[in-house]
Amino acid sequence: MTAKMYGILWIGDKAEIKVIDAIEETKTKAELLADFLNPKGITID
Amino acid sequence: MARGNVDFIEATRPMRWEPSSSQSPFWWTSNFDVNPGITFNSAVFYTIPVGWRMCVLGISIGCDVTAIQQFSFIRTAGIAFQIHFDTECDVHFGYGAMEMAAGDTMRVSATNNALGVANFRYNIHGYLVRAI
Repeated sequence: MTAKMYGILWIGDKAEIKVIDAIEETKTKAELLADFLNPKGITID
Repeated sequence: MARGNVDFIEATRPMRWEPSSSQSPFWWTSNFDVNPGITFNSAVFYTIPVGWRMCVLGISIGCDVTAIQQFSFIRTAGIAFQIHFDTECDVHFGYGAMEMAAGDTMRVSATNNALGVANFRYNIHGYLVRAI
């Protein structure tokens, strides 16, 4: 997913519409928990 | 002025302000959607221009769902403020003491702890002051 942020910047009496990209979207909580429990990514066959 | 099938009104707002003055009002209003359980980190949306400094007067944030959401306002140096809130209404902050120098950047981060997609909205207002 490429999230975008939409904004209006007013400076003085001029307006500018901006579309800002997300630089990253972090992992979900489940993925973060999995990384915490298994930081080296070891898999057991 | 017409563009396509949408009529645009000249983007000016009535205010008692002279463009040649040493201060310039600043207002940034924005919104974005965040998927559940995801942290949205925006790119830099404004950099204080050379020759100016900025006084941030206030920030308001809001969300369209009720959950304990997290919102951060981040400068170049790091997180300037962070809040956890649970309301569908807007939350307002006074920030009269925060000053940003030329070259300082602004970006935001938000975590959606709701079960569905949440729409965050926020405003930052202040004024740019010409550096002497």
